[in-house]
Amino acid sequence: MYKLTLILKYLRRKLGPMFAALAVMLCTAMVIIVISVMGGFLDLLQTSAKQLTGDVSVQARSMTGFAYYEELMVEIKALDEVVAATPVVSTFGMINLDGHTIGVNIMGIQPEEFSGIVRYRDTLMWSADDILDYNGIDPDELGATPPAFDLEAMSMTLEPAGFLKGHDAPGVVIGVEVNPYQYRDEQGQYDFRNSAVHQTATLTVLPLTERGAPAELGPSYTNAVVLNEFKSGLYEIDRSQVFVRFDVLQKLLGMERSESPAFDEQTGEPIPGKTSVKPARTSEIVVKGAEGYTLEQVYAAVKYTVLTFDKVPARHHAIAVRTWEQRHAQFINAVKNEKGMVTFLFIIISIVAVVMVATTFYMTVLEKTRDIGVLRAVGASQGGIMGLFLGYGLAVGVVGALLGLALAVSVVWHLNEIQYWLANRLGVSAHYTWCACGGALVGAVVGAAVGFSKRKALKFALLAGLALFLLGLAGAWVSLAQVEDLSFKLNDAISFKMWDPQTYFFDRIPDKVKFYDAFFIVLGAILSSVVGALIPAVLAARLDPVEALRYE
Amino acid sequence: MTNHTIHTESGLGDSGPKSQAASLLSITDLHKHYHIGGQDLHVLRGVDVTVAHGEWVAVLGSSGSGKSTLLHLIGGLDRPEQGSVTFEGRDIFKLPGAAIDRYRNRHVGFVFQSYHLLPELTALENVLTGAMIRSSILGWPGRRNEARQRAVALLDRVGLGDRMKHRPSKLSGGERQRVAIARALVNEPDVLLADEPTGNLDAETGKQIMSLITELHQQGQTIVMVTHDQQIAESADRRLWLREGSLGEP
Ligand SMILES: Nc1ncnc2c1ncn2[C@@H]1O[C@H](COP(=O)(O)OP(=O)(O)OP(=O)(O)O)[C@@H](O)[C@H]1O
Ligand SMILES: [Mg+2]
Repeated sequence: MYKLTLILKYLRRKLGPMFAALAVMLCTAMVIIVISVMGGFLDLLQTSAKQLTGDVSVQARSMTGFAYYEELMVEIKALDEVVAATPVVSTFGMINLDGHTIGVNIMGIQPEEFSGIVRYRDTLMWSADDILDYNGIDPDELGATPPAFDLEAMSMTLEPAGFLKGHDAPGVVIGVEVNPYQYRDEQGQYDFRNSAVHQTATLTVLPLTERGAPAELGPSYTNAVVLNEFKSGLYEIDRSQVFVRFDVLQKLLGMERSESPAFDEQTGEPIPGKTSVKPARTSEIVVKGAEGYTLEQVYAAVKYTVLTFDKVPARHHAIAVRTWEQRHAQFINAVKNEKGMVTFLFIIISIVAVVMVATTFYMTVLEKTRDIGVLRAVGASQGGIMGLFLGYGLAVGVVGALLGLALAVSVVWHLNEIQYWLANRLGVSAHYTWCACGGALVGAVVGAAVGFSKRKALKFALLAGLALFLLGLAGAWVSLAQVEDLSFKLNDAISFKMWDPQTYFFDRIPDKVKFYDAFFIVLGAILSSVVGALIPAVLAARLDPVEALRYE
Repeated sequence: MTNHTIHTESGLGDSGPKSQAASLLSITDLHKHYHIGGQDLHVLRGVDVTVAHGEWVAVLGSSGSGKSTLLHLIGGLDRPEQGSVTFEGRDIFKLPGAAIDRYRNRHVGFVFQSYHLLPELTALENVLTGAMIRSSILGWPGRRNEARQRAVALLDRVGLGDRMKHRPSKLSGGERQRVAIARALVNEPDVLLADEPTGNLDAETGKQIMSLITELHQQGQTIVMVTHDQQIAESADRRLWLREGSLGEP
C-alpha cells in the first residue's frame, strides 16, 4: 500500500519525474500527430484514387479504344462480383473558354451510371441557389426553378436545358481550375462570380481511325455550354479534366457505330445491298465491385471475363484490367514507404522516452537513497522498492501518455487553423524552422530545469540535461524531416505544395486522429516509461539499506 | 503479535520489567567485517547476548566501536559473516525470501539518531508507513481505519495529537524524534531498536525523549538502545559495553 501512497505523493511533489512525464507527453503527441497526418494523407490518396477510377477498370491500351464493349459489359455486369459498370471514352483535347485555350483530358461519360461508380455528383460546385443569389433573385418569389438554372440536374444529364437548349451544343462540366478566371482565395474558397457557368466553350479533339491513323478530316470540334464546375479535391484533376456526354465524345472521335457500303475486294466496286459495319468503340469500362467481395476477387472475375471474351480473341492483350491500387501504385507507394519511416521515428522516440525516464528516475533514486533505506528499515522488501519505482514509472507513463494524447488530439483537430495562422503570420517556409526552434527550446528548458532542480548530483544532472536537450532536438528534427521529406517527394511526383492553399494537392491537411494507432502509441509510451524506470528500479532495490541510511 | 498482551495490559507505570526468564532474542557469536580499500576491518568479533521479554538493554561504546552495526544486524537490516540472531527460536538470517523484511516490519521498530522521516509525508502518514508496508493495496481499505486509529493514538501519546498533518520540515528535532518513535511502534513490535535516540537533541529535549522511552519500557516494551552517554544508560535494566568487537559487562 505504501507504494501507491508514495507514488501519488511523489507525482505531486517531485519536479524531476514531472519533466519525465512532460517528455513522455511530447513524444507521444509528436508520434500521434505525425501518424495521424501521414495516415490521413495516405487515406486521402487512397480514397481519392479509388473514387477517381472505380474499383476495377478495363482499359484499352491504345487510344483507338476497343470494340464490342457493350457485349463485354453485359458479361461483366452479369458477374456476382460486380454491381455496376459503365463505359468511359476519353481523349486528350483542348477547350477554348473566352479566348483561352487549355489542354485537357476530356471524358465522355454516362453521368447517372458513372456517378454510381466514380465520385462525380458530389464534386459539383454550383447549384441553382448560386445563380439566383448572384442575380439577386429570391427563390421563394420565383416558384419553380427554371430548367436552365437547375445546374445539378443538367450536370447529371450533361444536357443543356431551358433557354440553353437549341444552340445545338452539348453540355460540358469543367474542373474548377480549368477555368482561367477561377481561383482559390486564401481561405481556399471559390467564387461563383468567376465561374464559367452558362458560357459557351469550344472542344477540339483529334479523331483516329480504328487502325490508329489520324482521320482524314482532321481535328473535329464542337461548341459546348458549360453547365457546372467540379472540384474533386485533387488539384491535378481539377485543372485538367472536363466531362461531356459519352455519345457526344464518341461521335466526335469517330468511335461510334457506323455503316458504309461494302466494296468488292478484287474490283473495288461497291456491292449493292451489302454494308460493312464498324462497331462502336470505347476507351474504358469502369467497374464497381459488389459488397462482400475483396478487390482481388472482383479483379480476378473481371480479368477472367475479359480473357475469355470471344468477340475480340486476337486482340484481348490490348485490353488491360487493373485495380485502382494498381493504377495508382507508384503514387500510393510513395506515401506507403513513409509509413516505414514513421515506424523508425516511433522507435527513435521510444528510445528518447526510455532514456528520459531512465535519467530522471536515476536522479530520483540518488535523491531518495536515504528514504529507500528508511523504507527498508521499516520493513519494505527489495521487491517492494522495485515495485515502487516501476509503479512510479507506470504512473509517469500513464500521465504523460494521456496528456500527450490530449495534446495530439487538440493539435490535430485544429491543424488547419494552426497551419492557416502560421502560414499567415510566419510564411510557409519559416514554418519548419519555427517548429524546430520550438522543439529545441522545449528540450533546453526541460534540460535546464532538470539540471537546476537537482543540486545534489549537479554534474550528472547537467550531463543528463544536455543529453535530453540533444535528444529533444534530434527528435524534433527527425519528425520534421519526415514531413518535409514527404512533401518533397510528392512535390517531385506531382508538383504540389502541401500547405499552400492557393495551389494545393489536397485542400485540407487531414485532421482526423488515428485513434487505433494512437492506442498503440499510448501503450508504447507507457511501456517505454516502465522500461525506462526498470534499471533505476533495480538499482534502488539492490541498494544496501545500511549504506542508504548513511547516505547524505 | 506474540507479546501483544504484555504491553497493552500493563497499565501506565503500575508494573516493573517483566520476568527475564523468557528470552526474546538471542545473539550468538556474531561477526561482522568491512572491507575498504583492501583493508579488512573486523568490527564485531563474536558478540553474544540474550534479550528477555520486556527487558531494556543499553549498549555503550566509543564511537566507531560497532554499536550501530550491531543494531542493524539485530534488526536484520544487515547480514553478518558469521553467527546468528535468533528470534522466537528461529535464526532470522536463515529465513526464506522476504521473510526477513517481514520480521523487520512486524517485530522490530527502528529509531535513529537523525529521525529519518520521509519528507513528503505528514506526521500521521509517516507513522502509518509501517502499517501500509504491512498491508497489500487490496487489504488496505479493510485495515485502514484500525491502523489510523492506532497511529492517531500513538501520536496523541507522544504529545503530537495536534501536529498530525504537519510535514517533518515543520517540526522541531524533538518532535521529529517523537514521530519516529510513534512510527516504530505502529505495528506493535516485539523489540524497539533505538540508535542514539537523543544524539541530535539538546539536553532538555533529550530528557523528554528518555522519559517517553522509560514509560514505554514500564508498559512492557522490550528495548535495545545504543548510546555513548553513561547517564542515559542508567535508566536501562542492563548496560553492556562494546569493546574490541565483543560485548561485556561494564
Ligand atoms: N559500510 C561500511 N564500510 C566500511 N566501514 C564501515 C561501514 N559501516 C561502518 N563501518 C565502520 O565500522 C565501524 C563501526 O561502525 P558503526 O557505525 O557501527 O560504529 P558506532 O559504534 O555506531 O559509532 P558511532 O558511535 O560513531 O555511531 C566504524 O569504524 C566504521 O568506520
Ligand atoms: Mg552509530
